[in-house]
Amino acid sequence: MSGYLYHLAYDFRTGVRDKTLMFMNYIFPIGFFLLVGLFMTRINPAFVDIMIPGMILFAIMSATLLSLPSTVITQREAGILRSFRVNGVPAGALITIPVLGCVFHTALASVLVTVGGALLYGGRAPAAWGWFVLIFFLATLTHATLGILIGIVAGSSRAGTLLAQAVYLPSVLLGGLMVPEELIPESLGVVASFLPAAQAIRGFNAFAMGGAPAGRLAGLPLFVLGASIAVNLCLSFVLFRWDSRSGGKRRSLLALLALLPFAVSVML
Amino acid sequence: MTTTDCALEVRELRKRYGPTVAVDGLSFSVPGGTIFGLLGPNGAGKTTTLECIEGLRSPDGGDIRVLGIDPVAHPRRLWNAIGVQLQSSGLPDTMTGREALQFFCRYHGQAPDPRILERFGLADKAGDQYGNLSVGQKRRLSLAIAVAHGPRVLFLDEPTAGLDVESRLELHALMGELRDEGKTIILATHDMAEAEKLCDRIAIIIQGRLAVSGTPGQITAAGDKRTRISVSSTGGSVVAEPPELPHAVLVSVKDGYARYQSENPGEAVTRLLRFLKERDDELEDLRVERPSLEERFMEITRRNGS
Repeated sequence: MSGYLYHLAYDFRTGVRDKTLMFMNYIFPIGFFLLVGLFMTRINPAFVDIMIPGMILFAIMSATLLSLPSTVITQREAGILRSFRVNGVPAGALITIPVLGCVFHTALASVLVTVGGALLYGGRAPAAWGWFVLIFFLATLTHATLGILIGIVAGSSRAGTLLAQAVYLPSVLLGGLMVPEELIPESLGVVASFLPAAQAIRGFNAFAMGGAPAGRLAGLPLFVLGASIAVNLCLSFVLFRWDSRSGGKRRSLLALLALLPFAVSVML
Repeated sequence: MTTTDCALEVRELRKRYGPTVAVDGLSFSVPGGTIFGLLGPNGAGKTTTLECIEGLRSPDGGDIRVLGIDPVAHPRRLWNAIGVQLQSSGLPDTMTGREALQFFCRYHGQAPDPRILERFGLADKAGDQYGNLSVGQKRRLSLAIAVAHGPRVLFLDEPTAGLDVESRLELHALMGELRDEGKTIILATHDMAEAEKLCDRIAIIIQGRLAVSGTPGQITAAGDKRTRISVSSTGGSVVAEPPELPHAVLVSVKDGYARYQSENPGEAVTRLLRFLKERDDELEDLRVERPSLEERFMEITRRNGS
């Protein structure tokens, strides 16, 4: 088994063995789903229509935005990345393996949410499973690559947490996870367009949950997510640093290019 | 490579961080199969030098060859040929010792030797997570990882810092064994006793420049030539009326000892013994000490204004 494959297997094991990652990957999102399902279905009966994609996105964001940046920053600050470097671990492995690990863990959590949502709360099952799976992967990869990019760019754990929360909290409030996008004021809808979660919900609604695709730009959310993955990965490779001494404002500004696909979608 | 070949050659190495010159035209070479000590006060440029040699930083000028490999042009080739224990490094807390060896050896394209953990006294800790190991065990694991892929040159940056006496002696013994196996060790340390005990050759760096290099004996001998003589007697005559000795200066009389400094210790000791015999007194303790490497180091750093 090559170093990359062993690293990948180790990363999968760590996602369960590490208590913090276990909490963020499974316990927190599934606990939140069970709790929200109990009362939201009573407050808002229409919640069952968006429950499964909404709670899957919540699980994705927990496993990516709330844990990936801090993992990268901690490894850099503790000199772990330097140990990796002098032993020939390539930067590409340190960027792609956590992303793949997140896909694996969020896929498992999403299966639990999908089955549990349908059986426990009568959540609406996807109408088009192929689109559902595709959009799940696009959403997970977008958030995971964004989490890695935040970890690479942030100068400290505190900065990383702030940046991640700047995406996470608006996503929960404006992303359409718990409240349908139609109920969100139009001005905030523009802000929502900059959020990967909102783009993913639009994609789920248009292609996977039986909603009607909205005209010639119906595929735009999928394009935005795909472009975002590519941009995030490119920026991560360009900006990757092995130790804390090689930071700089210029790289933080360059990282703002990650907003480009979302800005294009707003203009269109 | 035979043990007499050059394992490392550094010529006119230069590195700056903005306006600060970290390394300023440093040159030295290390023969194979030896332990080479890189000494210097804090901020002298040791770690920057090592990082340039290890391919972690690009030098601004000069030439480096490790086993003939240019670290700038071929870092991956270099990392497969050397083992590195960094001063500030670690492993993920949840990684076990066994996993760490597998992990790094596979990246080096090799299967790990299953006996390596046993050799480094970690066989019973192989399944323990890194975060649960003691400081000494972490250092030993780090050294085990550095040698697991069979490198010919090892770079150890402050390997015994913060260790208790027992752990330090264990690591010293391991380093000695590795040298005896023909490995070349480049050791950066602040511990002069460690350097004096382990190193075949030493280079002292001050303000990014080579201040002095040679064997520990050569470096010590080149400094203050005065030997310290401490003597005590059962009758106390040397303390009550310390004799005047040729080529020796009485430094202090304290705690039952008369202490001298002499450039001719043989003559001074002969006179001391004669003095005791004339007074019908008996020698209780006699210590003849050359200046230590630490004292020589302090002398060099003071002279160089560091």
